[in-house]
Amino acid sequence: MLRGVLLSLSLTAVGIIVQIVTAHALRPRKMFNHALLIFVGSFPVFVFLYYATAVFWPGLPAAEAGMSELPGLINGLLFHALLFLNYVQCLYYLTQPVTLRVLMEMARSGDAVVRGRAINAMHSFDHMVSTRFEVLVLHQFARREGERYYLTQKGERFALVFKFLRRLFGISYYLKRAATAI
Amino acid sequence: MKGLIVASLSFLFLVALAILLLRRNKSPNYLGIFFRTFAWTIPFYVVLYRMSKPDLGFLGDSWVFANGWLDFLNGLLILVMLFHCFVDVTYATVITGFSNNLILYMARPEGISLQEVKEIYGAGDEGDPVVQNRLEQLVQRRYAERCGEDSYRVLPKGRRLAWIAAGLQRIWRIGGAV
Repeated sequence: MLRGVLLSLSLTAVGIIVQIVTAHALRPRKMFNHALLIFVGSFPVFVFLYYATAVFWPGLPAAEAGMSELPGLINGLLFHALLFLNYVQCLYYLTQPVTLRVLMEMARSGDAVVRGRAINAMHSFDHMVSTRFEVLVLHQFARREGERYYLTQKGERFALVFKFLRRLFGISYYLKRAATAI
Repeated sequence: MKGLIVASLSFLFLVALAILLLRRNKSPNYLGIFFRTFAWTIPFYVVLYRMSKPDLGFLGDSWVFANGWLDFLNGLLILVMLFHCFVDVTYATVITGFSNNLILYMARPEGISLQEVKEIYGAGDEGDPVVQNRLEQLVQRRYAERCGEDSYRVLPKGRRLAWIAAGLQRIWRIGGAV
């Protein structure tokens, strides 16, 4: 078991370094796809190293004596997948929060006073909504007709899942809240 | 293997409890419910692990990890990671995800326009509530200070956080700092 966990931690560390190096060298457009590609590639490497390095981990044979290889492998693979998902989520925390983006925008001005209106221009509600509409159209979840946006079939399937989950959690379809709570 | 199985059972308990509490919830503090649920799941995991046999009554000898403590910690770590994924998907995407809310509005036969979204969220043409609220939070938490009407200046605490975030974004080559 411990072998799989240590292997996962080691491979994840190597994967992060590979991601950073290749991100600078190849300049991929989508961070998630880039990280996912490296992660998917690490699965066969994990399985290979799990069996190939069985005798190299110091101190582990005694701790894992009597165990078959399979449970440790299953545990290790699950651990590895979860570690990746958690890692990607942490990367999103670094880029998505609007508050952090606003703070970084202010910090760029050094000690100078920043006008709230200038920040509004960059992170306005209109901009937030318009960009999301554009992304939804780009990924074919929505289509535009004049000023109005409608779901495509792909978008409707997606909406069905969310409606189900919201029903399950007992949350109303259309979460009515003020823009300040976004 | 016991740690992994007990962690999986505990996670099912967590999901069921979260559904129950969310359905009974009347306040908009959804995130608090998730953390409360997690706080109750930890003792559930500990008790279940302590009270069950090493082989859980059905595992073969070769599926029982020799070191009970390591097995316990392994299960606990898996439970923490499962919880983090669950909160991120459920809270940040399903419940409060802005894009997903837009999708649900668009699912109506009449679709939706930008103007209607602004009306729903109470975002008028005067000022911008999204940014305004965040600027106020930054001032309250001493990341920035107000210097007169509609003017702000970043404070050392805010500058440090922005510097760290920008540095990390440059290392990973993501976000606005790139």
